[in-house]
Amino acid sequence: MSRHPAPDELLLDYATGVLPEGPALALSLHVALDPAAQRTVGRLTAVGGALLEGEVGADLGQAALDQVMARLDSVAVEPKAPPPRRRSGFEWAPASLVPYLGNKGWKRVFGGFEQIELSLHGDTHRVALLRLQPGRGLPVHRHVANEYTVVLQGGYTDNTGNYGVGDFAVGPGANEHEPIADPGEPCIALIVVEKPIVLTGVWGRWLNPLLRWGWM
Amino acid sequence: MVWRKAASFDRSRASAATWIYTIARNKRIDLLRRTGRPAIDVEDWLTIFTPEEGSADKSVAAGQTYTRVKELMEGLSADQLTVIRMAFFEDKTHTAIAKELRLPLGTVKSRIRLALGRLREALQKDEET
Repeated sequence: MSRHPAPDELLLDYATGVLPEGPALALSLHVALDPAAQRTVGRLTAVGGALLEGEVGADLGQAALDQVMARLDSVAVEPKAPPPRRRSGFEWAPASLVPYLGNKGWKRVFGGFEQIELSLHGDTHRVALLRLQPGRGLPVHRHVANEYTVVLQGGYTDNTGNYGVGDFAVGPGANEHEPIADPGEPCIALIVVEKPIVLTGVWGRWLNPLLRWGWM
Repeated sequence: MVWRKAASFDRSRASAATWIYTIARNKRIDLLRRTGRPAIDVEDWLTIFTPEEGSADKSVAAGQTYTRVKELMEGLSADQLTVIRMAFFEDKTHTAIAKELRLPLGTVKSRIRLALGRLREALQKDEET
C-alpha cells in the first residue's frame, strides 16, 4: 500500500477518463505501480460498467457475452499486444510511459540533476522526467499551480515526508519545498505542472530566467 | 471494435459490462487525443487492468450489478450523489463540477472523498464474500 496515494477526486477523474493527457499520464503511472490505487480505479470502473448497463437498459450479462463470443468465433481476433520494448537504461518505465519516451535521452540541467521533457498534444501541461543523483536536491521552489509528481525509481524526501516508488505527490501550492534524493539508486520521477514553478531562495534569482524560456 | 479486443478480456477479472465500459472510455480518450499521433494506445490503458502475474489482488473490478451499485448510491447523501452522478454521467472533472455547482473546490473534493470512502468499503466487503 502506498504511503502517499493520489487523492480520491483524481482517481475518480482518471477512472471516468476526463483528465487531460498530462495528469492522466501521471495517474496511469501511479495506478500501474500502486495496488491500492489499482483496486480503487478497478472498483470505480465496475461502478461505471454497472451504471452503463443499467442506464442504457442493455443486457450485458454473461449469457449475452457467451452468445456474442460464440458467434464471433469466425472473426479474427487481434492478438493481445506484447509488452512494449524498453530501451536499455529505461527498464523502470511502466508501459504507459514507453510511447512518450521515443529516442529521447537525459539532458543535464546542472550537477546531479537531469531531465527529459515529454511532449503532449492538445494539453498545456508541462511534463518531464527528472533524475536526481542520491543526496542531490532541487533548489528551494514554490508552485504557482497544480503540480503532480509520481516516483518511478528510488525516492526523495522533503518537508512533507518521504516518497518512494509509486507514491503520488500533489504540489504543495504556495508552500516552498526542497526535495532531496534518497541514498541508493538515483531518484526518477515524472513531474506534471500547469505553469512554471517559481524558484525562491539563494539560487532563485539566478535560475528563474532559465524557467522563462523553458522549464527545468 | 469490442470483439477485436477480445484477447484482452479475462472473465475472472471483470464483468462484461465493466470491460465494455473500459473499452468505450478508452476509445473516447483515444479519439479526443487524436491530434497527429497516437497518444496513449488503447491497449496501454487496458494493461492497467491486468496487474503483473502473482499479484495478490485478485478481486479487481469484480462484476458489480446495476442493482447493487444503485443500492450503494442510494446510501450516499444527496450532495455526494450529485457529484458522483455528474462524474459518471456528464463526464466532468471534479474541477468542472465545482465550477458548475458554484462550490469551493475543497467542498467538492471532500464530497468525493466521503462518497468514495463509502463505496470502497461496501465494494470491498462484496469482494470478500
